[in-house]
Amino acid sequence: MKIRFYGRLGDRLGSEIEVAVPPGTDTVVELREVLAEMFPQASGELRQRSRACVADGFVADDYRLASVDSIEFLPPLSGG
Amino acid sequence: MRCTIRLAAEPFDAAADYRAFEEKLAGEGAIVTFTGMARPRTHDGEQINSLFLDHHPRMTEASLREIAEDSGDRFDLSAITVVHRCGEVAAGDPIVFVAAAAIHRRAAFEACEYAMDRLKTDAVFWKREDSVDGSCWIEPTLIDEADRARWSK
Repeated sequence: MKIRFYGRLGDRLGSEIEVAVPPGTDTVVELREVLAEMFPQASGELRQRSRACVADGFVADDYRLASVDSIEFLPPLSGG
Repeated sequence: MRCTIRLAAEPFDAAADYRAFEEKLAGEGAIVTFTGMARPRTHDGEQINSLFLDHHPRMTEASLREIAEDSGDRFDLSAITVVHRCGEVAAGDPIVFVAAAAIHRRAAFEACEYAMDRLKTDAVFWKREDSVDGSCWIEPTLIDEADRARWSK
């Protein structure tokens, strides 16, 4: 799965990465947990302090990933 | 209402954007503009070499357009333009330019201020201050949030 990060998450993890998601990762919250374990240096932001976004729309933690091949995680906005 | 927005990856000349805005007007009585500059110091007085504004390839422009259109509709403007930098911005360079035109001055003043308060909190950017001592990602201040909140009354 292609994952994009912005702001401080992008700084720490790279702005775009490709991750082999383990079977059984069905929802956004489960993906957050997979990523938090993969990247402990950003686990706080990955678990809670970021919003998940699919096709330019925010999605809730129970959003199902069955047909998703690209997802983005947005830390809190700085504003302009 | 004529609404133009531009996300600028390179330094821009606010005076040129003003002239382009003014040329297309048709007898409005008021133009109010605001230019925000990248400050050379942090809130704590540390020197900033540059700002970095990370942006989203689509949602950032969409947020600028929504804020500009809301500002125009709310105050019955005849035209508004918003230019906003992204990428690396040197201290002292313009970072945002807003121009609002209306029949009378009050609407133009208020729309410009409203647009800036919205941009400071709702525009899709992630801002990092880069100084000799390192880098720091920043979020809206309590003052920014309060400025934004007063328009919801």
